[in-house]
This record gives sequence, C-alpha cells and structure tokens, in this order.
Amino acid sequence: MINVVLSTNGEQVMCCSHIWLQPYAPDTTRSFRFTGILFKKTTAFDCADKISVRISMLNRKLEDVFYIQFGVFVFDYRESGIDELWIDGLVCDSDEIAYRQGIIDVFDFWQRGQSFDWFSEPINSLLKRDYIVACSMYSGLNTQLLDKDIYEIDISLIKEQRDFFYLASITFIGDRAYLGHDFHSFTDCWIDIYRDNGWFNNKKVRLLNTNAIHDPAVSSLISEAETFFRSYKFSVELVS
Amino acid sequence: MTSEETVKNHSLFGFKWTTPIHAERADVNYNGTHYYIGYAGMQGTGNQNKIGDFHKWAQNPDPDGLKQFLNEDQSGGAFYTQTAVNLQNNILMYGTLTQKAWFSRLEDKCFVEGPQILTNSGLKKIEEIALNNDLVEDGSVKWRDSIRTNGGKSLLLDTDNFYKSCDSCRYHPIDFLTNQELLLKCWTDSAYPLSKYTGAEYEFQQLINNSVTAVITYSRKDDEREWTAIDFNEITPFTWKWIDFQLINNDGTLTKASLCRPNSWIKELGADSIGNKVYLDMPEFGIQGWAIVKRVRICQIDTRIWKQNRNGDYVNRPITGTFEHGSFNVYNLRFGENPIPLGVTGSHPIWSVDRNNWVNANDLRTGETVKTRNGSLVLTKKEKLDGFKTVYNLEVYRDHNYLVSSDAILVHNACFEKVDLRGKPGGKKIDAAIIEIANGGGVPRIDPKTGTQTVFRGGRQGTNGFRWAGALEYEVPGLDFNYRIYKLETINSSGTAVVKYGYTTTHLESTVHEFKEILPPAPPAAPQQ
Repeated sequence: MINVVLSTNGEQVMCCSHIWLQPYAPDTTRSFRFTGILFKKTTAFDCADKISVRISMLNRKLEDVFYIQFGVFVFDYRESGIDELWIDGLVCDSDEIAYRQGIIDVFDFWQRGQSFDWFSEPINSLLKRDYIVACSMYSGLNTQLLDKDIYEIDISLIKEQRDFFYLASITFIGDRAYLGHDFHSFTDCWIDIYRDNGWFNNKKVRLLNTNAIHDPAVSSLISEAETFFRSYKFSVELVS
Repeated sequence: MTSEETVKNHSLFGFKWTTPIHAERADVNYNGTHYYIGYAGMQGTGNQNKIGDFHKWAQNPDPDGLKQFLNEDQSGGAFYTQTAVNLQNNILMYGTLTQKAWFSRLEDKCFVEGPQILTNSGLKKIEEIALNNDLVEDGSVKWRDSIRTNGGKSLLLDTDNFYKSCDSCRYHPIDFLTNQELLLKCWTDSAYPLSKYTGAEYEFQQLINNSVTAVITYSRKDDEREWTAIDFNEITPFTWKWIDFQLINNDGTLTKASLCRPNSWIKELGADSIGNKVYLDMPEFGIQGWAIVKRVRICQIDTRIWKQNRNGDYVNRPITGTFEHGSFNVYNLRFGENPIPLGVTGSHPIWSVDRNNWVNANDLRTGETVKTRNGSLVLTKKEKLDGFKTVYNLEVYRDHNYLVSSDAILVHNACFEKVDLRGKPGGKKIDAAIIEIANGGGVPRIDPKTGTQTVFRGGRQGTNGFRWAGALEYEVPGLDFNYRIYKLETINSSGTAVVKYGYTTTHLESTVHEFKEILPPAPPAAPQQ
C-alpha cells in the first residue's frame, strides 16, 4: 500500500514499501530507514549528493495517491542486510506540508493486515490525528452512508473531540472512512453528502449515554452536533 | 521630466484624517499614467517644513526629487500611523502612513519599448503589435464600400434565427466577411456555420487568418494548459469584437487596453457602445477600474479554421489583448552573450528552468536559467532602471505566453504567480480557479441549510489557518474535497486594504498557502462624465 521511490538526478534508484523517520535527532540531520525494498540499483548512492524521496499510497480503489515529496542532502548512508537502508542527511525541498510518520504507520498497519485500536491511544495522541488523515487518503470522502434507519453513537466513548469524528465516520460510513477532523471539516463533509442524498427526513441519530460526558468541550461539541444533525432533518434521540 | 508631466492638483487631498496630521497628496501624471503620491507627518514634530518641501516638489514633480521623501529618516520620532478615507473615490483606504512619501498603483507585468516578439512572420516589436493588433489592411482584403440593407432599413443581425434559416438566406458569409459595417452590427452569439461556407468563402477566411499577426506560443499538454473561461470559445468574426478602452484604475492610473472578446462578454459588460463606462476587473493584468469604451472594432479571424502550425511544443496563436501603460518598476535583464538587455517590469513572470515554474523578473537570480525556444539561457545581469517607462503587454489566446527578444525567451502573458504543489497534481486547476474567482466567477461553497457561502473557521490551532478565519470558501472544479480556495478581504502589512487568495490541499486542515494579494475589486461609483 505504501510506495516509496528514491531518485537521483531524475532517475529512479530504489523503490520500497516502508519508510521510517528516526524520531531522535541530536543534530539537524535526520535519519531515514527504508525497508521492504522492491528494487535498488547497485551503486545507487555512491556519488549521490542529493536524493529525492516521493511517497504515495494505494487507496481503496487501488489508485496511487500522492502524499509527499522531499529531498535529502545525503551525509551518510549504510545498508543493513539486503532489505534495510539508512540514509542520514538534511531534509530539503520539502513541501509546505509536513512528513508525518503516523500516516505511514497507519498504512503500514493496514498493509500488514493489522487493525488500529483507536481507543487504546491516549488523549491528544498524534497517531489518532494521523489516522484520520490516513483514512482521508485511503477512502476519500465517501458520500454513500451505510443503509440504516438509526445511526447510534455512544457518547461515553468520547474522551476528546477527535473521538467524535472517528465514531461518526465509522457509524455513518464504515471502517477506514473519513468524516472530518474538526467540526468545520465535519460540517463541510455533509455538504457533499447532502448533494448525493438530500435531506434525511426518515433517518434518526441516537446519541447514547449522554449523561456520561465529563469534559465541557465534549459536551459543547455534542450539543452543537445535535443541532447540526437536526438541521439536516435527522431526528435526534438522546439516551441517558 | 518631460513637458507631458503635469500636476493636476495638490490639496489636502481627498483624505480625511482622524487625528491632526500634516498631509499632502499630489496627483501626478507621468506620460499619461496617473499616480497618487502622498506624504504625511505628525503635527508638532517639525514636519511642517517637510510637508512644505513635498508641496513644492508636487508642483513640479520629478522622479529624482521624489527619492528624498522615499528615503526619509524616521529617527526623530515622527513615525506615524493613520487610517485614511479616500473621499474622492469613496473607498476606504487603510494606510500605515509614515513620514514617507507613498504611492499606490497596481502591479504591472509588461515590457518596455524595443523587445521583439516572435510571431508567425518573424520578430516584431512589441509596441508595434500592441498598437496595430489586428486589422488586415493590405491589398489582399478589401472592404466593400456598399452596405447591403434590407429594403433600406438597417440590418439587425443579432438573431440566431437568421442563421437557422440561412439555407434560404440571401446573405452569405462573404457578405459579412467583406463588410465591416455589417459585421459591426452583428451581435449574435452563434457563428455562421462553417458547413454553409462555400469553398471560396472558406479560402477567403483562411486568407484573413493568415494575414493577421499571430504570436508563437509554448503550447502545453492538455492536462497542463492554462485556458480561462473565454478560451473555450472559438473566435469568429460573427461572435467576437475588439474593444479599445481607456482605463482609469482604482489608484487613478491610466491604461490603454484593447480586448478581443465574445459578443456576449461585451454586451454583459455594457461595452458595446463608444463612450460607455464599464468596470474592468482584470487583476491578472494589473487592471481594475472604470474604463471608457473608445472604439468598437471588428474581429476578423476565425479560429475554427485557424492553422496552429504546430512545431514541437510551439504553435501559432492569435492575440486577444494589448495593453499600454507606465511603470516605475522596470528592470533590464541580460541573458547569455546577448548585449541587448530585455526591459521588463519586475512582476512579469518568466519561465525558470531551475525552478520549473514562472518566476517574476525581479525574483530571478543572476545565474538562473530561463527557457528559450531553442533551449535555455542564463541570466547574467539584472539591474533596476530609474524613472518611469511606458510599458506594453499582450494577452495571447489559450496559451497565455509568448516568446520575447531575439533569444525567444518564454514569458507569461502576465498572470498570478503559479501554484506549485510539488508533485501533487492540481496546481493548474487551482491557478485557473483563483483567476476565475478574482474575475468575479468561481464556484462558491454553498451551505445547503442556509443557501449562503461557507466561511472558513481557521482550521487547526497552531497552523497559519487562523490568519484566514473569515475567508470565503470556494471549490476547485475538477479536484476532490481536499482542495479549497479562500478569498479574504484584509489589511496587509503595509496597511493597505487587499484581497488575499489562498488555498489548502488538506480539507480545511492546516496550512493555508497564500497565493496572491491584489487590490480589492469592489468598484467605486461610476465617475461623472
């Protein structure tokens, strides 16, 4: 699912299926580890001053989705066996979006057949943030809702606002779905969903365990969401 | 200084100050281009003398003299910030006015006299193309003296029914193609079908096409092309016309512009009669303001049978606009061994091979490689020119670029800076969408619950999105939900009211990439005739 291509002077010199950025860096150089090597030119890095790294992923339609491209001024490289290469250097020519290891890791979970346990992650986990982005890349915005009359969201599971958007995505669309990362993007998604579905007069949203909210920010969000669902003509049932 | 440079007036300006301030403005006309030049200082700081100096300069302005005010020392505590109201145009102008002279005008993207443009008939001086942009007046095409009329009544040829029944119609294409006055009366939106042309008429139109100056353009692949909305229309003598404008920009500067446009565009703008005042909003050419229609002319070419004469990546394209105005922002660029410099305004985009993108002339670095028709050239010297220059520009149909100088350097026909998504597809679509929005179009993101356009809330904390809170959201046609364009009316760091355009590629999440800020498009009330 992950496609990492390394090039020097416009020529592809290596392809692999995983990249890992070492989080600890005692100086301003960074170390990248490349594994799952599918192809490598023998003398790929002997004289290379700079390599270009392009990362893309396969989405649910098996289309190649571009993620990021950046350069590395190579200070050092070393091979560890036939399936592992380390490159140390200065990151350059970076796009204005940041490289996020979590997004790579989520796709790596999926390509290894593992599932991601959202609720085992702590509050403010960066991996949760990156999981939502990975879902966005993998599924896009799917406007076809699951065919249900009642969509139930267990509010007691929500410890921080991000949990709501995760729960809403799996409740309305399904696993690995994307339904926004904050309230504004959440409401924006529904504009497209509305275009394909119209009003939801005969559908209900049931919010369970509404008495289990302890965080005022979550309480405010749920109140806002309730109003929002009603505006799209869902009926909303609050169950304590 | 020339005899043409005059001071129209210099009063306490048209600006109303909310606190006591000494201020002066000069309305200065250099070679037909108009500038507001202001000077302000706080009361009681000895500025009265300086104001007096400016007042004297304004009566007989010259660029060299202006420098003393531009370089004013602010160490004496005379720094002053003020908000002003331009009463004259009824436009709010927010200005950080220091003890400096300031002047405002739109960015221009043009060439000074002299550079030659590569055309289908060799190199031609840009000013000659700009001033003689269309009409075929050689011996090969003669206009008929007589005008065919319908029983002595004037012809009204703006009916689509006319063409629908043209099997039985007594008028043929040749009747139009050989008669200027007939064509001038033709305001239809559908062209005479080519299927109705006789062989001779077809050849006649081809003769006209071949006689018109076309420029050589770099024609990109379909997925990279930069067509704007009107580029999807075929140009025909029946459905397009040339309009000559004299333009008064928001800042008071004057520009001569000639635009070849579809009849529908002209009629919608109200530019179909000489003397009409219309608001031209073309920020990509540095033009925003009220314009007077000076002339309506026929368009002779027909792109339905236009010969592109493709040669590799290069084709022939007709010109659809010419511009002439003035600029203080002119550079001389020297490329390779060519001893003749290229005079160009600082904001004119030139294709950088090194950066694989359009780069403004003043941002090109010495040693940087630019694209030419036959390869590339290195910029060997760049120097800013003093003073005011008359500059020219062209608008080119569809490709929006041309080749300039004997080196055939690829330049844009002036546009915004380009979006570079670094490997991510979609930059061209964002470019096109922003230009559409800046020209009053675009696809607003509409909330179905309210029927109103959505407003950006600012995105994730910690990103620059919060500086874009309150921006109107637009969709990017052809791209998915991740892409949005923002339009934000704000005050820039210089204290000037501007409209900023930005975009995001990550579904409203994080960093907003600023695209371009331009002066606000809201038109003032039409000036009295």
